[in-house]
Amino acid sequence: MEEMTIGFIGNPNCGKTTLFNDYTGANLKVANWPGVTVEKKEGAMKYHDHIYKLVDLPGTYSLTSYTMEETVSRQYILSNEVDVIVDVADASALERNLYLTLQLIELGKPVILALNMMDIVEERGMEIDLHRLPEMLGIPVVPVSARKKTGLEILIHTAAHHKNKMVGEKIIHHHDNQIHHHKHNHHKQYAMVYSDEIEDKIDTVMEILEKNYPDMSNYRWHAIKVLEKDKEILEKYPADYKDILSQDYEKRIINEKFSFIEEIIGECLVNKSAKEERTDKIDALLTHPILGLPCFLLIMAAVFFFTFTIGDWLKGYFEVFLGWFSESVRTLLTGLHVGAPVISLVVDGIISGVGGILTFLPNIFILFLALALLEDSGYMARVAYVMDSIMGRIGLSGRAFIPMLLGFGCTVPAIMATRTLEHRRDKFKTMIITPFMSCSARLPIYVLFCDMFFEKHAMLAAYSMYLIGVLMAIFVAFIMKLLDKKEDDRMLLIELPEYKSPNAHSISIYVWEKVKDYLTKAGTTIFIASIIMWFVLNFGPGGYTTEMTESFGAMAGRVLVPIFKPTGLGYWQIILALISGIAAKEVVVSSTAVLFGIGNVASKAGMATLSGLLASIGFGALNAYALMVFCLLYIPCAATIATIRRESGSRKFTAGVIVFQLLIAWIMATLVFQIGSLILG
Amino acid sequence: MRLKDGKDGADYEVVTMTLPLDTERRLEVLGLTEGSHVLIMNNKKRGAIIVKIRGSRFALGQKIAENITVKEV
Amino acid sequence: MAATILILVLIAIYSIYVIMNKKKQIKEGKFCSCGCQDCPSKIKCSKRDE
Repeated sequence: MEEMTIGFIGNPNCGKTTLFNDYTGANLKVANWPGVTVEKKEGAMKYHDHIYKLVDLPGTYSLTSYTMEETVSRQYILSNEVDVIVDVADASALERNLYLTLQLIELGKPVILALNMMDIVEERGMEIDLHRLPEMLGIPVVPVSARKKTGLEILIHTAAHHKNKMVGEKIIHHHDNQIHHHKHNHHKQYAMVYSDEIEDKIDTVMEILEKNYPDMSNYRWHAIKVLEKDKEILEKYPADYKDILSQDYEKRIINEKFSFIEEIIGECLVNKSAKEERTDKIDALLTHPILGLPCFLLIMAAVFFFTFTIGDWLKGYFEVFLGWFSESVRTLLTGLHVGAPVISLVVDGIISGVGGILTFLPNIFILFLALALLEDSGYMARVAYVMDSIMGRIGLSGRAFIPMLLGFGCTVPAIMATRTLEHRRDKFKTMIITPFMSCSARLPIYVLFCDMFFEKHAMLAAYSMYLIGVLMAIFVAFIMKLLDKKEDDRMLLIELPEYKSPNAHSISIYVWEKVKDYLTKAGTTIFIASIIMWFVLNFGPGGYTTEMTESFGAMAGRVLVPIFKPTGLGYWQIILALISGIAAKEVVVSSTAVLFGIGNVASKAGMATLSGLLASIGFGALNAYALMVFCLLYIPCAATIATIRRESGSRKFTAGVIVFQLLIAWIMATLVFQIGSLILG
Repeated sequence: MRLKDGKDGADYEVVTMTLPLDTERRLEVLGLTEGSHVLIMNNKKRGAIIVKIRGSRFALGQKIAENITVKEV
Repeated sequence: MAATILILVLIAIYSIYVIMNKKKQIKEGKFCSCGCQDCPSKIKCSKRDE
């Protein structure tokens, strides 16, 4: 069977991933590009007895060598591994997308332009001249809609037939008002022809390259890159370029490309001025100077409303199953005459711990579903903008907020995203505040304790945790700003994509990924943590014991009781749960289940038993709130610590962050508990 | 005048940009070239500004908007 | 008695497997056990092609 490789490339937000998923489904192989940390996604499909290997290149606006993504894409396209390039363009923002197209054509490989989002173009009453556009570009143009799955077969068909065809077959330009006096008439050959001055320079550089590097392919592209003073090319092909490099041509080359794009748009796009009224209307509200922030808070409140209500409803079924399962296992093991300690280990240790976490899966599922919806609809980028103005008021940049947004999902990737910040100083600052953003691992803690102690106001109590987290992050950032007078650069630059209705297929892939991760975590980290917890609680100086108060765990917890007294958390069981939570925040919940010997902690009965047990040791609603505040702010999980250590490259800094966060958590929990005690008398 | 001082809903033409080279290049490949048109969608007194460049919306930080000179069209 | 030992052995084997796996992952550069979808270094988690 014949095989060919198709590379997909396009601007960010052009729907490339949706299109890619349409072809490959979830059967992806994710690896990295040799030597760099840029993702390489691969998939395969069969069509008409041909096997097609599809490669998803990173989303990028251009092909210079300023970023890793651009360099990687460029090198891959220039290599012989790929047969055809599919350039995915958002047809509703054709003008911007064509810049990358022109750069791709210059690379000299077979390129096909896939005009995505044609449905939106039609909706807006715009029209694209699909006859004239390929004529001007010299490449096939295929209209598709990744969301409605139209044009997919035609695109692959075109790719198959375009395999060995290079550019330059039927380029027809009018260039009505331009008269060229250049010695070569390139207009029949190349889609993008520059002004005479630039063309002269290209010729000069080409001559130099031909002399020095006789084996080079595509002299024209390399010559253009030399004129742009492209670092990579100049390093790879050093030559005596004489005085050509004394001037900077990059700006002019970019400008002339856009002039040509304007010409294309003028000829090919009808009814260009059609407004995206829907986005304008939504943005008028969501990015409103005053209402923008309340809107964000409301949307987040809605997310938690759904997380709680729908999540709890689904959770009911999980609990019934877990209760049945743990009872059956106990009966089975007793029937097999298994020793009592082992039954305890399996049922009270492993099943309570792991099962306790698994029952929160519906809540986690809904949370990620909501976050995916917000991301896919285009709202997340707006949050960075809204926060920029808030943070701008106290002299901070909204750019740091982008990694922080990731922190709602998980702190580890958020810390890693600080790589995109240029200054070491900004990186460190963001690393200090990011763990305050309440990650999904803390959700089970909130759900459990809020449901137990705040009944009707459970949702409000949980939501307040998220707000405290955000406010704490902003407050700490503000203090750091006061301490460090250096001016922020405030170079926020982010695209605000048009709003669109979310795509079910991409969302399901995203959510499934998250659910898988959560299940894996329950089966690995939580499993081990539960076993360790069981041992710590069932072994004491005198060996195996069923009396927990005589265990090693109780002894260790008691040592710390005086320190935790002012926070309202001076109970050895709670302290032990908090310590175990450093492994992963969910472990606080699984440990509580193991600690109090509750088989089905998330169920109504389990919660009633637990809150009864807690009440008997004097642990009430206020203590519970202080506990949640402490969990929100204290040391992030081990994975986060390891990530901070690696990203900062400093042990001292990492230790500093740990101490600082413990301190903040202690102070805040104490404030909550002491002030609360005063008010409640 | 500076882009930052522009009015909501008004269309401007870029005259010059005085920004670090890499920021300037990033803006240029997005289509914010000299002589190109910028439509201001939302300009608050402080913080970022939302503009439309060649049909796409971007949020530009305050420092960027302050260092782009434009003229009215 | 036989059942007790069998269960303990099963738990021990699985635990060792999980811990070894985790150790390997950490050596490969993956620390987190959380979502990988939007992790900037997710590629380090999957096996390399080369």
